[in-house]
Amino acid sequence: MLPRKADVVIIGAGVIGASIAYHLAKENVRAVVLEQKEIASGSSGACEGLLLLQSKKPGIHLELALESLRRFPALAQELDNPIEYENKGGLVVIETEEELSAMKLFLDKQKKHGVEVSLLSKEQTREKEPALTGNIMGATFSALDSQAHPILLTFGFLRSAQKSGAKVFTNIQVRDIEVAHGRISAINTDKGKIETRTVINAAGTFAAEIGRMVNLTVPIKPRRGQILVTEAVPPVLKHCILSAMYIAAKFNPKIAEAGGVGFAVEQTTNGNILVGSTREFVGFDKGTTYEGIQSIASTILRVIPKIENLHVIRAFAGLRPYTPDGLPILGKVESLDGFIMAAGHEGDGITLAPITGEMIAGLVVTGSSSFPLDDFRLARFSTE
Amino acid sequence: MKNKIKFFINGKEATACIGDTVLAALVASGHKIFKKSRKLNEDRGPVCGMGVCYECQVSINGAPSQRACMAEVEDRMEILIDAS
Amino acid sequence: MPHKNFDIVIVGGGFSGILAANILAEHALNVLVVDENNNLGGQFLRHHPNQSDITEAHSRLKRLGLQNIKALNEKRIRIMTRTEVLGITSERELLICEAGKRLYSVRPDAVLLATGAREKFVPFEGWTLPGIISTGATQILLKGSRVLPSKEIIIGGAGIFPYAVASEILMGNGRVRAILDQNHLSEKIAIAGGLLLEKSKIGDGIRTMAKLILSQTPVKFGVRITEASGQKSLEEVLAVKIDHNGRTLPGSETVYPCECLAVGYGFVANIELAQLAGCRLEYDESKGGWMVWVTEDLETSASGIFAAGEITGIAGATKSITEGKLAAQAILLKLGKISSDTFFARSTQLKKMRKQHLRFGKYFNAQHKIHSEIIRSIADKTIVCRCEDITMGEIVTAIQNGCVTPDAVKKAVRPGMGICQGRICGPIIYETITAYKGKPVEQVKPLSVRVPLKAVSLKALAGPISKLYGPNLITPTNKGGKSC
Repeated sequence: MLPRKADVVIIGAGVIGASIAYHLAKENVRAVVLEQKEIASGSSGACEGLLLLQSKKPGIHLELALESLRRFPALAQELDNPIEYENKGGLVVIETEEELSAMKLFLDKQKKHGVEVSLLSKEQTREKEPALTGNIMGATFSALDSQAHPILLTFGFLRSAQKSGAKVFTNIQVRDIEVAHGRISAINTDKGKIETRTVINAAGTFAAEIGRMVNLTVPIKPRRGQILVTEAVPPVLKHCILSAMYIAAKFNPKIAEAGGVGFAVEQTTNGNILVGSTREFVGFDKGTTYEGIQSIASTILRVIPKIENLHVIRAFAGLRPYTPDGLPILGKVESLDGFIMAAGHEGDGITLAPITGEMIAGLVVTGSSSFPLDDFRLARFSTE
Repeated sequence: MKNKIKFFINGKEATACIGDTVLAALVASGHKIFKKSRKLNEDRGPVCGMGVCYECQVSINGAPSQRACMAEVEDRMEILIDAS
Repeated sequence: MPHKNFDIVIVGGGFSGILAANILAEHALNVLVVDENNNLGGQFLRHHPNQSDITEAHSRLKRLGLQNIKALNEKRIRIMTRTEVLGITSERELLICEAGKRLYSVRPDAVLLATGAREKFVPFEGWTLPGIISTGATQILLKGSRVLPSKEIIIGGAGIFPYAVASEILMGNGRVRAILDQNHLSEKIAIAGGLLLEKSKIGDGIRTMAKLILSQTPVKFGVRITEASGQKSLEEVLAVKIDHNGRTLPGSETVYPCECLAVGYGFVANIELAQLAGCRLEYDESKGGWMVWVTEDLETSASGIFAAGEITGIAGATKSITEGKLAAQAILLKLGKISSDTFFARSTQLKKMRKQHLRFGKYFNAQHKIHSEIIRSIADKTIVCRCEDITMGEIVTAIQNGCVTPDAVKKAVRPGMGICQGRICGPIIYETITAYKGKPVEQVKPLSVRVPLKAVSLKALAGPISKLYGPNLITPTNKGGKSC
């Protein structure tokens, strides 16, 4: 039964909404979570589970990721179901001279922000990860890079929150949000109205649509990533592995458009190898393409030819919630009391879920977050 | 039987007819257990015989996870059944 | 030399595919037939290469099929065996993979889906033991290589197909220890009504029964296999008597020692390709479950995509033959090769025959209906998803926790995420959902499907993807490999 009133309503039961519900529950605030489809049916259910420091922009982004990653070991213990957290360490593979120069600069910046990343020679790289071919120049390595299961993490957060009284409603559409005297007053759904003074927009790729309901321009748009999944096999890959191109394409749209996609590969606890990914602006189209699939397959085999005989048993695409500056949109919206943003994590949602949940919960309960939110304000996109 | 060919099962020589599937040749040689299941590591053998169930996977000439029921035996083919 | 696009691609070289191909090839069309097996013929026409000469020893149907294959091989069309279709769009662009190695794309003006059927499995405890095989696999081993899975075999399941296989085992000098038929005698006799519709099958039916009677093969009706056990492989089978609602009759357990059990519970249409193309599906119990919806001219809801054979309704070889012919005429009409008057003249009788075949199918498929009681009494620890070792207990728990679609169950506990892509466990999952939720099966959609439709190696997927024009092939383009 949909409640008539709620202290906090969270829109979106993906990993971000789930984490917020969990952290609120820890502070004895029972949120109501509204999900338009099923739990983790959006980005959180169609992505890899890599938790990476090395793919973050040095600066506030990297610092946030570092904080968030530190929370995972405890979470893995605390949450009811296993989340397949594995601290494997991560390698960013370098194939060309240009990539080497770029990664050296990146490395310097990362070190300045207190993150231990080391540059490895070809031999050192292959010693760490024998499956890699000899055609590489080397790699950067971080012992902190890890992986977890995004869907299990989402369910884990929600189950724990539900045990403390949070309520989750699926297959429910938010119709509009009522505002009275500059303050949120209620939320209307297709199954009834909930009076509330706090709404958290954790709707991921749909966050712009929610923003429109309160006359806010939220510059989040979907960016598709196709992923291949192989049959489950005994351990082949020891680390989380990315290519330097993958990071470059993330931050430089021109590179992504020119077709440079790079790769991100993970072997899950079950043994399947997930290989991604493209970066395409195609609206909300979650289809895979023959070219995208072929591109990912040929890219990964260039660097890990050993897995060429593994069967790909499915391919899927997920939509990442992209923002123009690569940082999520978090925090209160000054112009509208009670409306809190928590979306736009692009490909970093799983990594940043724990810290996002903690910060937003802190904001709701005490008025201030455990981590400065200035760089993440929605207002930063304002032209005024 | 005309058109006999020689091939190898786990290194041991065996014979089959041209046109036989690898599965038929293995069953004729008395093999029942082909692989182990993923999670529970249980013994598995062929079931559907037509390429759907993937329970008859063997290594053929070095290529792993090939369906025995879909492959035809060829001269000097090397088949490895990894049921260990 | 300019290359011409293929006019038509036929997916599946069984009866409907080859009958259609022969007709289409007579009309100066560029025809491509692809089949995943090593040879054309589908399941019915499997034969040992030593036996490809057409002789009087073969049945009439078999002779017709082999003659058609021979004729096809002499025509100017392209045939690709060992070729799987990995993807199809609603605009008929196909991605195909030959020999698990080479990728091609082809975009014909029309597609005929003739992908046939596979066997349905109903799990019981221990069904994953080596030594338990399907009736279909038994037939394939016998027909294709004259190999018996074992000298002595017990047959279990439902429907009339297990009897045909029993007869083939006897012909192959094997022994059938017993036939454990889940149908009751009254249900069995009901098929007689269907046989009157397909008189061609009466002869086969009588011959089969005669063989079984003469060999004194024990047949037990109303018997359900509930457990198989053994150390490393099958050693014994436990069966119980059931009432007309599928409920076990207490005290009726019987143990049958055996090393080989062949089971068959009916068929599942291979609708995945049609599903991927966005074709409308329909659930029809009389047709055997989830089918591809077609107009009476056998066109699917996707323009230019036609379907024929078991995927429009399970009813055996004669329907596939009729529909292969009918689909060919409909495609000729669509491509403007014949007038609508000609089509009318040619198709009227075929459509009449089709209705008759479907009526037979109703009787045939009625024997494969699974009582919810049987599904509900499958033990919790019984494996349902063989690829990932997921049990019935886990699936039922997911259903009781709110997963009401196969996709939801798949996301929650992972059945269908293995290499068979849900082809074995998928049908069981939606029967289980209906059995526990009381929802009619037609409201529970089948598992959704994606590219690649069949498991394919990374090496093959890395391409290149060559365009396929008919009947010649152009050299690989530099398509793909966009990474730098």
